[in-house]
Amino acid sequence: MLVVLAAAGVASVALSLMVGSVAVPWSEVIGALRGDRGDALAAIVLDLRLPRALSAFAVGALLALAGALLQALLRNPLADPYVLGISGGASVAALITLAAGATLWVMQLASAAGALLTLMLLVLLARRSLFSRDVLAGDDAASGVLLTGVMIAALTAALLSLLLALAPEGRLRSMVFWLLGDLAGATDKATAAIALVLLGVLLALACLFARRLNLILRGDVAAFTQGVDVERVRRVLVLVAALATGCAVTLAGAVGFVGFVAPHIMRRLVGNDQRLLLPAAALFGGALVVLADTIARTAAAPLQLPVGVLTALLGVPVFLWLLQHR
Amino acid sequence: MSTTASFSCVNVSLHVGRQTRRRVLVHALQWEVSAGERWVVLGPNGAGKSTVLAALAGVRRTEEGNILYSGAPLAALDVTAQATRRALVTDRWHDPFSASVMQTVLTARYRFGVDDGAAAAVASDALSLLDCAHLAGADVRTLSRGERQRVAIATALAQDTPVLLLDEPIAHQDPRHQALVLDALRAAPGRTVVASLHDVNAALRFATHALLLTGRGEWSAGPASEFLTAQRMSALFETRFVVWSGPGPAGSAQVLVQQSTDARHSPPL
Repeated sequence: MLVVLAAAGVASVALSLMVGSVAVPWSEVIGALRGDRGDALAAIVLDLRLPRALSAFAVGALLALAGALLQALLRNPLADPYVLGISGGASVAALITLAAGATLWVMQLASAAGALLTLMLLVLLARRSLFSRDVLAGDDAASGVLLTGVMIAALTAALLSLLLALAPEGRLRSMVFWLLGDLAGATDKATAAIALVLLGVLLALACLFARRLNLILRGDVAAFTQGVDVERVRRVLVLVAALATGCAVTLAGAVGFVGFVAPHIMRRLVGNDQRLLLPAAALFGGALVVLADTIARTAAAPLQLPVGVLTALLGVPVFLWLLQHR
Repeated sequence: MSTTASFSCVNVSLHVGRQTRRRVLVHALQWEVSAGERWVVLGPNGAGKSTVLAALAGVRRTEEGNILYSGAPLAALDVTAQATRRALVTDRWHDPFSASVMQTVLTARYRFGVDDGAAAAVASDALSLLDCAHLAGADVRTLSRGERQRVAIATALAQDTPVLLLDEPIAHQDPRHQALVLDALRAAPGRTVVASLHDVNAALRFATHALLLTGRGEWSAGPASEFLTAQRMSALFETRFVVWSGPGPAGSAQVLVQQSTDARHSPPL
């Protein structure tokens, strides 16, 4: 199953390299990837489409990973990467810089800082749930973290509305696009590489805890009495989910829905063993966003659609179909 | 400390609530449980039965005193060491996503690591013992409460620990399965079992010893023959129990019968 999903990921990237305002034939793509930098087509593939496709894959995979982790940790199928408010914090910081007309990298830096600050606020406010010495009380810790996160998200949502209301007319469009998720700025090779490395590290870390996460799904008390250090696992994995979300949001804005739907679709296909579900959700989420972004930049070319809208347009029917048929 | 002690409580106090609403459930409990004994924890609603079990399992701290497993303080044992010594069955279980009964029982084998060759056999045996073998492939979320409770007990058995702690293990069981669960808990020789129950006759059938809690801090503990008497039960539950003796399937039978203190509510026998 993982092999199939990995193949789908590669195929989606390959497709995104070929299609666009200029169609690049398969042979040219292969040639360019082999280092044949001769012509303009190769430059399009290597300098524009490849970084963007890899960024899209990293964004989708990070969000799906974060979503899968939070759904399991919070024992709540409604959880998604944005439920804890991390992305809200990142968005507030990013929009402030956008409203001020800052350059791309300043905006990304601010967004990363916003994500980290919000994470620190979450840990501070939910410390009693996160660092409870009392496992029995901690059986409700999941809801403690969730409620705190939802409140932070509500606060950042209010701040975002305020920013949009006060923003100068000319910059409103780019701000709205960023909020919906936008990969147009993600054509930097180094950034894409960093995102992929981070994805690898976070996914590996999450998989190390996957077996323990299987037990935590059945409740903190059950997991603890069976020998899982619940408190430590929750702390590490909330951090992993927050970092993954922060990284994805920094790269592409608040790409919606993939973090919620990718784990659900995969749970129906591969089951709920986290050892399989975490990598499967990451691969599927990555492929989904690459596909969505390819459509986003080609469907109405030269107009670019926000990728977050496309992930929902693709994901909702698939999920609804699965709900009806299984 | 006796060498056969499975675990013991030294001066353990347990409270609920905070500050002015604080209530002492158990005060200065001195309790020693030897390997192979079967203890029933009895007391009225809110007396602290679940709280005592949670403290014994280490999922709740004690306000005062220490719990020792084979002489070692529970709080000093790491989470793995605790998992090798005791298993806990609560009356709360979480099934947020679907999973098979077999997968659920297998979670108990976590402490044996990834190459645990015995896992499948142990889990199947535990399920059979609790009349759940036919449910192995079923989704836990489709089970009745009684079935789910027996799966939880099978899970605890599969953890294969010397001490088994159970919170109201027959609360959701029909009469046949009440007997089946209690017999299954008696069947493991050498295993120490502590279970809270509400049915004094089930307690008589199951226990070798009893811990009685009033919920006001007082406690008493000792052999079933001395502590599961009509007089003690009447005082503990503030309702009148009398001994009824008569012919039973195996010679004579003796049960405790509750007498209504109010004639208007007496059943039309």
